[in-house]
Amino acid sequence: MKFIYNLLKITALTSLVVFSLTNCSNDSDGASENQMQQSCLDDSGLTEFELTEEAKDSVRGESIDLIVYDAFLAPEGAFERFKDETGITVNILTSADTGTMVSQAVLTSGDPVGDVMFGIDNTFLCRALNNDVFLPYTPSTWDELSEPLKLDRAGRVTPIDYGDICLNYWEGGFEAPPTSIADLTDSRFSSEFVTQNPETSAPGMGFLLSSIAVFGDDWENFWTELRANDIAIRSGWSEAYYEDFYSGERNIVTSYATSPIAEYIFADPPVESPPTAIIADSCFRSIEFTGILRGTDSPAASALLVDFLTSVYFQELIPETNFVLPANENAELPEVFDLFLEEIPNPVTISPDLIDANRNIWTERWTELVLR
Amino acid sequence: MTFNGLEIAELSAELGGKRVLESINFSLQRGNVLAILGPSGCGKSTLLKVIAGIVTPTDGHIFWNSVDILKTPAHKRGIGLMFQNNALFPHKSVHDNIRFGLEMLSIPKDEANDRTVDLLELVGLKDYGNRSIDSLSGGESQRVALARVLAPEPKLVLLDEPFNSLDRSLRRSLVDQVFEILRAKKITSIHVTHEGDEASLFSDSILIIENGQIMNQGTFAEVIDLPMNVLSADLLGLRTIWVPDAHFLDNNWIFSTPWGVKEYNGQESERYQLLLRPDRIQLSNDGLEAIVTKTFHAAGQKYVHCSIGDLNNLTVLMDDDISVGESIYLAVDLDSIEVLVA
Amino acid sequence: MISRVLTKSNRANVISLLAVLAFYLIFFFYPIGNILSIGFSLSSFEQALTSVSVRKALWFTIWQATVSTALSVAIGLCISSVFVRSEFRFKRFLESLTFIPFVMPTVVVASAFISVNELLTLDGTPLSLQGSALGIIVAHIFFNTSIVVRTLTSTWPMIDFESEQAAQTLGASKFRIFFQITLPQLKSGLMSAASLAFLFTFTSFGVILILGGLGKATVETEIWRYATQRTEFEAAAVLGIVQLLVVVAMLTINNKFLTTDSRNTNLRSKVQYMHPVSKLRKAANTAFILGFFGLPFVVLLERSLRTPTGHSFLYYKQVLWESSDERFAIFGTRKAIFNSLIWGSLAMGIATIVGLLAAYLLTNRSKSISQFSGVFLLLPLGASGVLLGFGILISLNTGFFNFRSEWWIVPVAQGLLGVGIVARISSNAIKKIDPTIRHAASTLGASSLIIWRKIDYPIIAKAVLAGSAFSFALALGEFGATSFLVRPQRPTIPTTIFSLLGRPGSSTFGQAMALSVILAVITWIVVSLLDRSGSLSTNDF
Repeated sequence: MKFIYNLLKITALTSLVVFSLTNCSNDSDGASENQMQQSCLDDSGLTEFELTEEAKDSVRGESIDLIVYDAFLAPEGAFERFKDETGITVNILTSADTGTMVSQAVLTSGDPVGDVMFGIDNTFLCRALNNDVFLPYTPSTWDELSEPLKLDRAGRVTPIDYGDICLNYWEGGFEAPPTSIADLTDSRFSSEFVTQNPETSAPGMGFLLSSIAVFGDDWENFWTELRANDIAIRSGWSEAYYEDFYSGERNIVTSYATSPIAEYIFADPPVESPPTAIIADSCFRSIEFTGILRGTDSPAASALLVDFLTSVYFQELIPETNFVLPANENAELPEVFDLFLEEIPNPVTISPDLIDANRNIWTERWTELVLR
Repeated sequence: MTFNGLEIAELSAELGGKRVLESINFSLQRGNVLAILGPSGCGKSTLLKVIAGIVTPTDGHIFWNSVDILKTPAHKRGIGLMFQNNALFPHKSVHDNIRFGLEMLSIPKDEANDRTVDLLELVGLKDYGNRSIDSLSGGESQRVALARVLAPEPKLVLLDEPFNSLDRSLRRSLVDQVFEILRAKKITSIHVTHEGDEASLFSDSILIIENGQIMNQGTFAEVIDLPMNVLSADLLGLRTIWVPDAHFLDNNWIFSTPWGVKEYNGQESERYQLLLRPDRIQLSNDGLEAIVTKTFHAAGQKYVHCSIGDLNNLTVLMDDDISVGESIYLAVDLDSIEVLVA
Repeated sequence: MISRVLTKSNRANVISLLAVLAFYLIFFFYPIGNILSIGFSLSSFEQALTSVSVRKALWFTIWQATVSTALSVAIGLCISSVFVRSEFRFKRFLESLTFIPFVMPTVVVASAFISVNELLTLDGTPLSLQGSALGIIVAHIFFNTSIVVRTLTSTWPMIDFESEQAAQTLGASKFRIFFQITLPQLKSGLMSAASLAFLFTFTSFGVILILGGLGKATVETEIWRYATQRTEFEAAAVLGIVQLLVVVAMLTINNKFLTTDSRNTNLRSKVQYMHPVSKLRKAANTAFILGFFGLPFVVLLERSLRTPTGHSFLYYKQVLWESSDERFAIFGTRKAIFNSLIWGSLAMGIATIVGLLAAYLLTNRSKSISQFSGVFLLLPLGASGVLLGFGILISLNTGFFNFRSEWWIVPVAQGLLGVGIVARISSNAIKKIDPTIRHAASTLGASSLIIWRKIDYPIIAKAVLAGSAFSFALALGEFGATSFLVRPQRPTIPTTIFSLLGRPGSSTFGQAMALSVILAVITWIVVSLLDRSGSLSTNDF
């Protein structure tokens, strides 16, 4: 027994030493910001994948894994249809939130857990691109996709949907509802606003980025004034939305442009029009992408999936399942969206490079200003 | 006029909904030893626990030196209890077990340690202080338990069959030792036991309990002279007891014995048994024939079992050598056959 | 003691040792070693240890875990002392009530707490449960008291109660008896429970994040932040190493306190001799349990019944009887319930089997083995869930060990967390078996296998079931590392609740609440079934 015990001790120590030696040369993180000189959206030098006709036939019967974040919902029957069309089986692998999903991809870059990733957004884009997470590929539907969404010039990721993060408020809750985010510091809206921690919530991040884009260097003042105006901060969207907004504690919440439509659809008993409205000013444009993971064993099958995800058929299913808008301009919106979707004239955009470079700095600063 | 000692008045107790003690009354002079005998489950242990204060009675009073101690909580009564399984504190050493009672009395450390050492020596466990409880043998554990009980100098010590798990000779020597110490220190004690001989050696008075009720009490001599019921006779080891043919006629019970018919006038019960002690049987040529079925020894004295009439195991004192199957002739005076309530 | 009986089958002994080790090596040590090694450089250590925020986080983590554990133990002791010393009709129900929090997804519990906060209008006061250390500690007590209660209700009755009576006759008041006689004999059970509670509170994640109101950071939340939001793995790994070192230190110290309690030779039924507990205490106990553990649940229940048109079972109907073409039925909730039960049972099975084998390691004659095991068996509970999940991703990815995206990696990871618990609880029971019973059996002709089956096993079965119930609850609540693995999309109750909560709409919210209630009820049913022989049964032996 003593012998085994000693053996274990030695094994444990040895493995620790071995791993540290082999990993000493590993610099897998993107913390070093010394890629500032080059935009992550520029050509990476990776060879693009070409999908050939023969390849399309040879992949019948293969099965590939699609990595998604936890809130993703597969439209009913969609992947069955894909299988019918191409003979490829799609397995969905769920990760946690987007940040975790991207971190996992960065960590396993070159040896990915799945074949295709769905749902990396523009705030995390550079982090993935800088670590060569994706394999460049131009889908057959490329020309159908909306131009402003094509952020990656080197084709490593393909835009798949977009949504705007806007402030929502209860219809009829205010005599003179807020019309811009600057209004939030007004005493009229004191103790009315709830938003989320940008570090733990995508809408929270979206709103922070909006404020930075709108106010520029003055963004810190804006937040100081907000804080003085009594705002509530929650760690996640559902707490802010359901705890504070629903209960009437707070009547303005950071959410999505499509939230009122969801409210309308899921209202029970049914209502005539959405009970909530959005502030169209300073909405942050959030774009989601898909891409083939570099190192996959099945690039051809993956490519076909990317084609499918950006095809009109799939794109038309997205709005009602995930409450975002399709990237494919040929896709028709569901009627209820046509009826109630409000136009966002000038959504806020910030370059992924800038976001990547400053994300950590901004969130630290925000934490100091607002939480401490 | 205060009575020095323990008085129990109309004590009743219930456990788990069941009545285990019913109107118990007795008194015990200070410095004396009371033995309590009874079959298992009769409530003897409960009686001790009630006296110690661990169990609350439903009725009755407990007096010590004429003061009612019923309301006094157990830890203030100064009554020691020795358990069947000695209940030593497993996480403490021998020394600390013994010292515990002294700690509770806030006796200064040095004095407590000295007294503990003395007690250890008293019970013959001189260097055992540092030993752990689970390293002790049965006899050693009981001696530690004794030392522990004595340490706070209780006024009354209750022994709940603490010697049951010991072998005969160890038991005998330990019982000797215990009562010698108790007597020397003039500590009043109550000893629950099922060994009648032991009780005879060490007790001043005796209480016999069955189903929570007192069946017999008095000094040992009194009770053994007049056992009154089968239970008492049995517990005291008296023999030979048997169930005779009996019928009731004209306010009298008529029992048939090999030596004739015995009349009995009492009507306390519907069932009776008879007792014939070996020393009341004479060997006489005019007596009735009995066939020896077994010979044996007890306490160094020769006895035989024989069968006579419908009596199969009559015990008779025997001086001579006799073998099984032989006949002996027994004469018995009908008056010396005792009637016991069953 | 056990080894002596098993020497006949020494081979079985060695095999079980190797099996447990292999399991841990593959699914824990290898992945965690891999990921932590990323942080193995002097410069990153220097950076981490000099960082003010890291030190603050470490300090906060340690003190809130210590306070939470101490209070859980104290409250658990109070509750158990009433349970163990008295009989009353709803005892089992009350005890099982203390267990429900354990399985609830943090997001649901936190939300219930927030509502309780509003209900009692504590918000804004110093007693506010939100955004405060108080809230975190209260939530931790909420989760961890049941660990203490469960452990105590099975080990307390095994104390020689006559030693307490002896102390009484020697002049000890109730107070002194409790502290000098009872408590020392409960020590090893308490230490076991306390160490588990400490591990859970030390690596607590969801509660801190949601209730802590963002101003409070612990080592685990910092690891999460660095690893998943900032993609700074080095910093995360360094924190993970620090975390693990503290845990190892705690477990090692804790081991020193685990004495072998004397075996109970006094096996009579306790009912007759119990010190009666006053009615007042019983009432206070019941009131506390119902209030503290019941209130958040009642809040949850109310919300699940609250529809825009008044209270009704609407959401339950939607959750349980939806058909796929119904408007609100985008989630296969029935399937989720089914999956949760299957996966939960699987994880429980793994934890029980490996845990039982591991229990023998803990009771091994050789002190070094049992002490070493005492530390490593519980390590997974003290390691960062984030890092373990990530570690599995980068480690179990080649050749034979390409497990990382297999469907069963999730129940295995969950089972891994449960092994330590089952082992701990079982070994405590094993140590209490009186060897003379075994000797008696062997003189009556029983071989060592039969002895194990007919003597050891029935006696420790209760403890094993208690441990299994725990693992089931952990697995059902999807605790720890599994949130950070990449798993095949199979809906389970917690993930469905999560999805429901991620969408706007009164009905999705209502359904999420209804599902939470269902989750609690299912757990309660399963745990009660497992406990049928009951840690509270008084006809032991």
